[in-house]
Amino acid sequence: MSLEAVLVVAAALFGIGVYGALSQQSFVMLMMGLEMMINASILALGAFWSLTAGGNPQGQMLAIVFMTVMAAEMALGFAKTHKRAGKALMEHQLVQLKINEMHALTEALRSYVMRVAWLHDRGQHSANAGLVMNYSTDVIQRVTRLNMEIHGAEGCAMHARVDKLVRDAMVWTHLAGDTVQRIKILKRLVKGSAAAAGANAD
Amino acid sequence: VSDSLLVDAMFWLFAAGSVVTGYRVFRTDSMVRAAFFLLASFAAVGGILVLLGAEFLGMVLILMMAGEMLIMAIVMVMYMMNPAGLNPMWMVHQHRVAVAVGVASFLVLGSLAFLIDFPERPNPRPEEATAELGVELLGDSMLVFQSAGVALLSAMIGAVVLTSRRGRYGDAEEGSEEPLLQGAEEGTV
Repeated sequence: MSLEAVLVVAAALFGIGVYGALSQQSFVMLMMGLEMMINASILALGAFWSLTAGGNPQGQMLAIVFMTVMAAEMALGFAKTHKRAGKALMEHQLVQLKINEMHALTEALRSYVMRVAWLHDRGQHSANAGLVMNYSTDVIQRVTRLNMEIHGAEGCAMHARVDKLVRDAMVWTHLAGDTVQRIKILKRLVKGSAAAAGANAD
Repeated sequence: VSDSLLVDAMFWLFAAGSVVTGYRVFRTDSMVRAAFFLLASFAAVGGILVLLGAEFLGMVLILMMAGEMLIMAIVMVMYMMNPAGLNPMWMVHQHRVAVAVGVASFLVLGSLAFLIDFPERPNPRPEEATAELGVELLGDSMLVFQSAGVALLSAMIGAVVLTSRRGRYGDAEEGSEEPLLQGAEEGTV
């Protein structure tokens, strides 16, 4: 067991740790990479203490300080933080764009619903009433998914309410937005335009 | 001679074990298994430390990591998706860069082990290492030891503060915000 051999093992562990800390998206996995790096340093320190330092106890002392760092890092790593890459979640441009899209979709749906209500008040009935149901299904599914993507930035620990909203939105595929109803509406639209074309021909 | 052969064999066994399980941490489909692989890697490193004569350090490392990784495994089962590893898990970014940097750091650090001429002064009395460490901890390095203890305590307090539902500036569920500095206007940091 030569010094070089132990140091090469420590270097290999450190390399794996660097890879993990740089590549992992989940915060907990990233932390595992950091711990592996600290662990490799402890191993290298142990080797230096045992094989080059002539048994000076301060080498072991330093390793204990490293272990403290590891424990402190672990404790704080487990604690949930509200910052991503040094910025609050809201300040990330991708998150802003997603919230922007959620807002635009919701407002567009609101306008459509108001227009259908307005048509109904005026006694004008059209395929719009069915289409707005289909469209609202699309919008809530898209918006709840965007919401999940934003919350996904917390790693894979997810707030239970977030994916409940997505599942609730999926239900509407069958209640209001399924393909059969879309085909029915399409048929009505085609029939309407055919009737209109016939009326024009007369 | 047979004694040092046995030590060498055990060292290579532990070395291979720690590197292989360390690699598996990032190649398994279940986070629970990742925690156990990391525990195995730590235990193998603890074994190498014991072989090097640092019995106390090695055993403390194993004990500490066993406790920590078991807690981690429980957290993984409770809060993380897919604890059984039934679906593939591949959550990486900048993968090529990460592989390149990892390999590069291994090559650089590994070559340093051969390029630098370290003094050869092996520990003369490894059997008294624990006693020497104790004297060091409660003698010359008392201040360092106590500082480490205070750092750990503050880390624990910090963790509790960060995880508590009620944050420093109100209910965390409400999205509490830090109050503005005195005299600062709305919209400034």
